[in-house]
Amino acid sequence: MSFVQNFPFFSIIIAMFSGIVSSVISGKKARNLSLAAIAVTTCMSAAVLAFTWRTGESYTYMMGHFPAPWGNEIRAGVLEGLVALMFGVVMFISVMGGLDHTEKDVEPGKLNLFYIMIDLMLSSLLALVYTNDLFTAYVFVEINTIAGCGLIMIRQWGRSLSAAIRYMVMSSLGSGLFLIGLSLLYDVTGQLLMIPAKEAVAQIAASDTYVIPMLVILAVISVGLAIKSGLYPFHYWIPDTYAYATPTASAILSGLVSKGYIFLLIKILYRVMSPEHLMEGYTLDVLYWFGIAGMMMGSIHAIQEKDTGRMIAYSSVAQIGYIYMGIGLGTLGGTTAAIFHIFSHGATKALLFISAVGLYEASGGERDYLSLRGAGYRNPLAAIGFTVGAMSMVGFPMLSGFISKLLFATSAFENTGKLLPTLIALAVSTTLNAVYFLRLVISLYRPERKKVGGVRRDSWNLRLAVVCFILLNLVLGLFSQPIVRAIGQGLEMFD
Amino acid sequence: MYDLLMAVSVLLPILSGFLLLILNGPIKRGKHEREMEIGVEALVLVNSFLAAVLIAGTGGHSGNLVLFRLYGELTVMFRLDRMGSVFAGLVSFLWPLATLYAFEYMKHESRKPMFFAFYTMTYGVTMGVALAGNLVTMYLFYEMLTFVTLPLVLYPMTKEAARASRQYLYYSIGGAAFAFIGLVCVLSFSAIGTTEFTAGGMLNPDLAGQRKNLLLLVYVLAFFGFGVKAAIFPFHDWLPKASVAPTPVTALLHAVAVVKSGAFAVLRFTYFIYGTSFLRGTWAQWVVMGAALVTITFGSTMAAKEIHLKRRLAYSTVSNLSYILFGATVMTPWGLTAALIHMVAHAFMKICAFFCAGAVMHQTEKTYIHELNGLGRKMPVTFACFTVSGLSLMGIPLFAGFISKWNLAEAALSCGADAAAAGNPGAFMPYLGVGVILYSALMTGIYMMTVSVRAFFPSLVPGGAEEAAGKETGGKEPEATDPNWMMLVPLVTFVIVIIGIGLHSEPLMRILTLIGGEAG
Amino acid sequence: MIMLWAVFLPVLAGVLVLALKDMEGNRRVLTAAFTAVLTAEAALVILAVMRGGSVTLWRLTDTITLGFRIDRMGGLFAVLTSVIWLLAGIHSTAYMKHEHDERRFYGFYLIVVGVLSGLDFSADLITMYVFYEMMTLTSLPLVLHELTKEAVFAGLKYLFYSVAGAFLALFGIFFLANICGDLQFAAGGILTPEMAAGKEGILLFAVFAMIVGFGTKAGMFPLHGWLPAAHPVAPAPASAVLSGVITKAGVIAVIRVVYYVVGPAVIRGTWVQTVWMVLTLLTVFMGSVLAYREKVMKKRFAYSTVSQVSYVLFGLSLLQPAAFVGAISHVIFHSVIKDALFLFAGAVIVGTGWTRVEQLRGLGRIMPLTLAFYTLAALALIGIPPASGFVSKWYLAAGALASGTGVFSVAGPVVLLISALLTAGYLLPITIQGYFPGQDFDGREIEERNLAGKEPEPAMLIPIGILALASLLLGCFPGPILRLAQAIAETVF
Repeated sequence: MSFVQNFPFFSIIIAMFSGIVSSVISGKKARNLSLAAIAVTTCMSAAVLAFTWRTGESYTYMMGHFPAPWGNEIRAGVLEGLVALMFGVVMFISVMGGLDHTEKDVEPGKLNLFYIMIDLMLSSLLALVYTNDLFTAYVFVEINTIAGCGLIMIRQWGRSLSAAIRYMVMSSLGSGLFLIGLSLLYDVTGQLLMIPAKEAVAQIAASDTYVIPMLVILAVISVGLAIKSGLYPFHYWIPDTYAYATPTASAILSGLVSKGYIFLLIKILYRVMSPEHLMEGYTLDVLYWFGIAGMMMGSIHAIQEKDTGRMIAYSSVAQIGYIYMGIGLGTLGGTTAAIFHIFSHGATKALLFISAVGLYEASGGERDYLSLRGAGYRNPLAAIGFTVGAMSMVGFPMLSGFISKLLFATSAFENTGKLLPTLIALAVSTTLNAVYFLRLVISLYRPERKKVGGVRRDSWNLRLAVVCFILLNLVLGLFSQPIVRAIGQGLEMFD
Repeated sequence: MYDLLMAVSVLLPILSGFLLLILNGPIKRGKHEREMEIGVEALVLVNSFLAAVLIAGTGGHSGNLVLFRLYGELTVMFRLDRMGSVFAGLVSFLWPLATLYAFEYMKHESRKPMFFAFYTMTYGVTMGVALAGNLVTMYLFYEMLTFVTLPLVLYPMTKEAARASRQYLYYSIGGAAFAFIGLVCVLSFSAIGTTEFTAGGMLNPDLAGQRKNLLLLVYVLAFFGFGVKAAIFPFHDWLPKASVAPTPVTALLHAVAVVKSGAFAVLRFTYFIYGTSFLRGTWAQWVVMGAALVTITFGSTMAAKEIHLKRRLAYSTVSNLSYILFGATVMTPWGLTAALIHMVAHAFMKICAFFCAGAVMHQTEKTYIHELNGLGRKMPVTFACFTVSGLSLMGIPLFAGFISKWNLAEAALSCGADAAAAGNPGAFMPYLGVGVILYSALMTGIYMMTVSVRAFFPSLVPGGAEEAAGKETGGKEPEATDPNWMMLVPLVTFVIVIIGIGLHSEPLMRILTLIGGEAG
Repeated sequence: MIMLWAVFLPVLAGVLVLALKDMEGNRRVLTAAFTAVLTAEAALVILAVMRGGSVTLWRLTDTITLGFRIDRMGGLFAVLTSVIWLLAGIHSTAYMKHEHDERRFYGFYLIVVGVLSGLDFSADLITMYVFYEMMTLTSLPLVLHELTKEAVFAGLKYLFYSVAGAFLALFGIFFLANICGDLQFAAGGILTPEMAAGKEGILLFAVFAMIVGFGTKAGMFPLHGWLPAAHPVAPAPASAVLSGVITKAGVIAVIRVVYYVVGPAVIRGTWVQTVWMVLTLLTVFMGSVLAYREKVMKKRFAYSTVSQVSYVLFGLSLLQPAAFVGAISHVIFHSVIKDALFLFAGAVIVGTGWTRVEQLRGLGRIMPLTLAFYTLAALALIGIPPASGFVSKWYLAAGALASGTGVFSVAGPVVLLISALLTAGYLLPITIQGYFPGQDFDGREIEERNLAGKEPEPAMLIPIGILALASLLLGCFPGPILRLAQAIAETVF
């Protein structure tokens, strides 16, 4: 056993421990510790990726040495490594970019609390990525929920609080459904580890028994995770949550948290419910159509929205719709596209949130798009960042959004029945994206209506974050081939 | 060596534009403006020279120059072929003249460096569309074109301009989104695995045959997608609105570069991707042809109704662009030839008309047609040029417009005859098309000649003559005259070209027939 | 070479006149040069027609060449045009004294005659179309000349009707070029049934479009609306040539299409012929009625033109040799007569300023000789033997009866007869009221303005006289014209 194989476990533990340690140290130190933890785990993820890429196969890793069906297992393959790496990178840049704002928005005494939440969030995300058993997954889902709530609430402002409560309620509902699904599955199959569970599910499917219960399990788990990831129509908690948190929290919540659940869902779909089994049911179709509805409705809500933050948040609803549409295609290509879009959207949405913050700063803290007029001249870099993000969202070639659009569209050809709806939905949704994002971009470059007082230059770390996200976008847009190949390979390892 | 030259002629203007944006600060405040103008003009001239060398040197056949790989089989690649040469040659001929004109037109404006930066970048991007060797590259530059021309539409910074640019953007992006469907579909059905342009089409006949209706539907979607930039009905509305932009932009971009890129893309897609043998006689052909015909009718009728000079010309562009699209939808070698000749002819005619409108605005600040009474006496050269372009747009013989309409009509009639011989139910469409072209020619007569008549014979409105005379003697306003050489040189050049093509089109037609022959 | 001169000399001279601003002050030189060029033009045309021949001007594209070739038909029209142009031109040197912008008028007047010669000499349909369009554009300033609001509206109406007609015709040209390849004129037509195989329906439609399109210039219903508006607003000499000659450009275009490209056999007995006959008869009747009801003198003459030119077109639509002869001779006679009428109107307007018919009472006391010439021309137009109109109408009626077109062979002559009665009704009252103003006539105005016995000056009177006498004499000695027309008819049928 190679030393590298321990890394997934290590990285979860490191993140966990740094959270625990943070509770007893000062805010500044907690911040540094947190950054270090993210950096280290990201490097470890990279190492895991490199290792599994080289060996060409995945491995499982038992924690605590409980035997099946109760064990705690970690599994690492190319895909897990890649997702963890991406999550780490986005997280690091987000935290770094929001440093100053965090200090401003968060009460000084509670700074370490914020970083504890970040650490917990990191560990739970990594765990969701690596886990190979359903119960561990459930545990970290709950940790994730709590950390997310904390991140929202830490900015003690009326709307943040109400957003946090809403998030709490919706998330608990989602977790609850997920738990019910797990229990039912355990009841039916007697397994919680994914690999034996899959065998059991296959047997049940072959014997043609438990048809309804299996369908219910699938539905409940899907709906639970869909609520948690904000699939339309379960998206009510999203706009306020994303829009009113601190910049770091917004970027992380929108870019990563919901994606963790989606990845978990993909894992469950492919590693527990086998694809062949799925194809017969309607679950995928339901996800697909809800995804498309989300694409449309999210964008329509975003068009109606005047507040920039909420607008970007509604855009997330649409983008999550893309991902579910990809999953719903039920093909390898569709899932690949969905996972690539997780990356692409993570990088782009974080870029948008971070640069939007720069624009608010330059506009006296106002957030509606009329007040942002002329912000492009007051804060050029943030405006460029926002423009790049917007262009990526509408699928400008050379940026990441183009590649995900391309992948979705090409994969649609594998599923004849859904080909045309997919293609047309993509085109319409792109147009809608253009409407609300580029409307704002044009606004940014129009002369201001009134002189804006108190223009504050944003900090260097925010700028650095913007630059990093732009680069990340370009990398995903220009050098996507190896990444896509890795995703494909990783998905093959799922079986 | 020529292969590299392609990249240079695309990237040089783009990079120079960026440079100019960076130098924006120092040039502001009126300093170094002269130097900037000379620099920009020199650069544009050099680039046009390079393009000329490129076209002459390769004779319309260059190698492939792969810049980079976007994803999988999607490479960004340049290759000059004959059709690309025509478009590239057209653009590189017009750009220096339009730039010259723009200096004079923008004399009193602020934010000049920004304007010329994007103006120059657009040159490069348009060259990119012309030189693109495959669909992906063209799509890339097509999208880019939207973004580099956006600041130019937004340039006046008024509420109207913002609204126009928003609309322009939504339409263009929306169009590109549907064109994207075409791109993906082509990728899946390509016979060669890539999206490289191949004269006569490149779809895999076996695969394509199985899913013919799907492919046709996708063709229609992509046609409308690319057609948005060519202002096809019902996606035309951005074009008249976009005429709020400064005239050099309206003239060069919204009569030539941008809109012709749309038409060019449709031609590429029809003749070099799908191949006409696949499309000919199908329902898709009749659908897109119908759309083109509706646009022609609609555009020319609206132009006759419009009272704002630039918007009237813009509606005229709407209708004329669909002439090109109509040529494309004829789907025969001759159709391609006709579409290309109209592309060239219309470029000169419309840019000439727009520049005249711009000269009037620049000299007198008049924008509505009823304000033009009697101006022809004061600005004889300008309005003579306008009249020539009007006559040519009408399709009067001895001018360029006649040649293109002749070819369009003949191509359409042959197409209709073939379709009728094959017993195709859509055979009446090309015949109808000829009728539509003639109807539109009549409308052109109405909307162009009324302007000329008003300008030269001022008494069309009560008191018009007195008004014109009163201004001459009253002396309240400074006397309007013909503009200076920077505006007149382009105008007169265009007129010479219009008449030149009208009288002696054979050399050009020979090349275009060759293109039609190989791709149809 | 001579035919090139005949086309380009007036054009060049016209451009020169327009370009030389200094001539404005120097009327004498201007009119002298103007008259000289017109005379030279007439001579050149006659010479060119005698010499005949053909020439290729220019290759427009690889399939379209522009060229001239003089045949009998074109020669006939060209000579007619240039002679009438000369006479009206002489008249205009006197008339234009009372107008503004003389130089512009002369310039365009010269250019138009060159263009018309080109039209007549054209060797193929496309060359003809080129000159046809040029004719519309260059004659536009003549209509616009007065620059009143009415004139400009009339000018635009003229422009748009003409252009609409031309584009309608262009459809046919596109189609014929597509199936024939080459559109050189040849008597009897160049279209063979094989060429049109499978496309007969569209062919007929195209021919019909061309007849209606070119018929616009000849004032044929339904595109006649421009004519009564445009002709009267122009200066009288311009009205004269517009009405007398330029309408005939439409006629020759129709002749060229029907008899020299498509061939009469193709449309004989088809719906095209039927509809064409209906349209022309309708126009004949309608034009006469409107002329009868019109009170403004020049407008009345213009409506008369609408009616009379459709006599010609009716003759052509019968597709029958005798009717064809009648049509050709009516072209000549009507040109002569209508020019006399309009020049008369010009003389009256210059001499008295009267424009409405009821004002003309007692005109015989002012200009008895002029009124006598008018009466001659009027009688000729009505078709009273032995004046010229009788000859052509005789042939038209005879042709109609022999044409075997069923109801039309009878209906045609009847309509012609009714129209002739109406013609008498709208032309002769001027004579009668002029010479015999009646008991209640109040001659004070004539005395106050000291108008009695004031004939127009010779430059006006002589052309009117020549034309009026010609309208009589051509009727008495129609032999050469009829022989020529018959010779042409033999080639085309």
